[in-house]
Amino acid sequence: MKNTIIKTKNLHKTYQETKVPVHALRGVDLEIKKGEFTAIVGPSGSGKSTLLNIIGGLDNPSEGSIEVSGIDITSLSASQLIDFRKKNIGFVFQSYNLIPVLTALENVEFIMLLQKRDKEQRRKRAVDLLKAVGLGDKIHNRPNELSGGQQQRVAVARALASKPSFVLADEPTANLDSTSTANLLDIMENLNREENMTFVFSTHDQRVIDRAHRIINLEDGLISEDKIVKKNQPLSR
Amino acid sequence: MLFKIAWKNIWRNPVRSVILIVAITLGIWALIFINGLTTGMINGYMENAIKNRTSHIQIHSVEYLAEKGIQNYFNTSKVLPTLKKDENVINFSPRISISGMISSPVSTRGINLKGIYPDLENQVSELDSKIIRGEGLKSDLNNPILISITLAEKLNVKIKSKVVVNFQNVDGNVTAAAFRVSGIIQNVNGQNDEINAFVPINNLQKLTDLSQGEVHEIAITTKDIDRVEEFQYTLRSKLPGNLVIQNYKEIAPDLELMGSQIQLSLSIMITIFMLALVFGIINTMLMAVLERYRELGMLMAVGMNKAKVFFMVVLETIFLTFVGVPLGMALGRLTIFGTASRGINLEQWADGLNQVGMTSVIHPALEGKYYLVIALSVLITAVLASLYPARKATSLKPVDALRKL
Repeated sequence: MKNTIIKTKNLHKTYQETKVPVHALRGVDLEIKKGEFTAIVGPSGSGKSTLLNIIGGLDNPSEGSIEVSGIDITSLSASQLIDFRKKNIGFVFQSYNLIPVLTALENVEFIMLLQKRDKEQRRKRAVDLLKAVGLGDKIHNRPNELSGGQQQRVAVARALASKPSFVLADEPTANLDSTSTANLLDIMENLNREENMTFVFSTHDQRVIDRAHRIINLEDGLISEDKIVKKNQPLSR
Repeated sequence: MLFKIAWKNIWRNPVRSVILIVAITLGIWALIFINGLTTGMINGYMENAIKNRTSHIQIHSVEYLAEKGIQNYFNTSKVLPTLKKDENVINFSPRISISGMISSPVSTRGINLKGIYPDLENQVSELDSKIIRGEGLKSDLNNPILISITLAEKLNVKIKSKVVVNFQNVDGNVTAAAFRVSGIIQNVNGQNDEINAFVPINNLQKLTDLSQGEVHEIAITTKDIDRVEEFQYTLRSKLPGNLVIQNYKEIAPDLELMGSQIQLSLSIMITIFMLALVFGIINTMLMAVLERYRELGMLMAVGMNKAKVFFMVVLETIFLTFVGVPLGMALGRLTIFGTASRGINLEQWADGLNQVGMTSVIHPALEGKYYLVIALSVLITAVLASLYPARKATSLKPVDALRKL
């Protein structure tokens, strides 16, 4: 499966924070291919965020394997994981998590700075991405000068800045109104179609679910349903 | 950009940063000022003791140092020509120094009676400048004597009062002589000055049957106090072997002791300040780190390695310190500069200070290298204090931090 970006096998995650173990994932087998626009849905506590964190290399599974771009990330050390995330994964968080002291442009550039890209290249890509998410006129605004929707669009631009293999978005629309949600989804869908960028969301927002091309339903740490609802369509120009 | 982020981060909570900067500024100012004041006090104490008590060098016979008896004099005939020729010698004052009892109609006290050449003594110890009542030993009075204010009060005598001094002459016989108080001098060197009484050397030679040139000590001031040991060594080779040449540190070991005790107190104060600074910085930086827990988690999630996160927190501390240090240094330098020449007048405590040999006007002074030492100490302390918050920042797990969303 040369197009497979993410592959999990018998993924388990058990939290032992209290005397009673909590089984967040109980054997998840999953394969996500390049260019998919996937929503992982399910009620609270179903294991969506845990699955996303493990796929993103932020957390380790208790059992099972996970390959991202053909690499078994459970075998990587902490510092190798940081490097891996920097090169391969774009993150969009529920609360945007922009650096408040930097402008939109600097926030997007910052990720490329970590990749040690040269200044001109950084600047050009950051401006292009911000234009792509419709914020060409707000590049010098700080997060507190932007609306929630605009901040999340900056976060999307930031996630894409490092040219990742895929973008993980954890409840990206949870704090957005309908218009902002629609705008954000338009942008992400366009990027998916234009650049064949893979998106994996965790969400229980129906507006996102309605736009997803593949819906994976998690219940009690297991995949209860996995269905393709829309074929990826190439952008018609 | 890391520098830019670190710099901007410290201004996220300007009040908190300003409070820390002000604390650092005031702390450094206080350190510099207290250091300068202490140095001024030590300098004053040393100058005072050197001028009034030890001079730079003193010459005695070996026997006199073993027993301060009148018979243990030496002859200046082989000494003074050497001193007069030596370009390192600024002034010298030969003295007869004997113990005696001074009596007035109301009291009797023990004294150290010094026979001096008024002009020569004045050049070494500025004796005339300490006269607060009456005049010096060039007075027209018959057998003039200068006594301290404390002694005058205890004897209940005034200018021109008659006092009688009993002492041994060179043959070991007790003799007595009447003197008129020509002047009263201020105590500037504690109890040491209190018991000193001065008379013209010629008068005392006659009364003690010592011959011209027979003295118990010669006090010398040299051109360069910092090279006094070198001069002492040279002089030793030029003078007869029965004479002991001592520098001021050997004459009064308490000078060094005093200096080292004050330095010790100062070190304790500096340590307390540094500890306060350490806790201030840890507190501020920990708050800054904990407030940004999610953000730091995000930075680590998106690929900022631990070393960079660590460095960023240390950098923020360095920036905070870099703002406070120059301000404190400038304020401290201005304070020292503003008070150095005029001095800080502690007239209110003059008696107490004089009792311990200190002057009541303190001229703060601080060598340039101490500013550097203080700045570096604060900077190193700040960096060390930032290690714990920085470690705290890097020990967070991105997944835990992000779970706090």
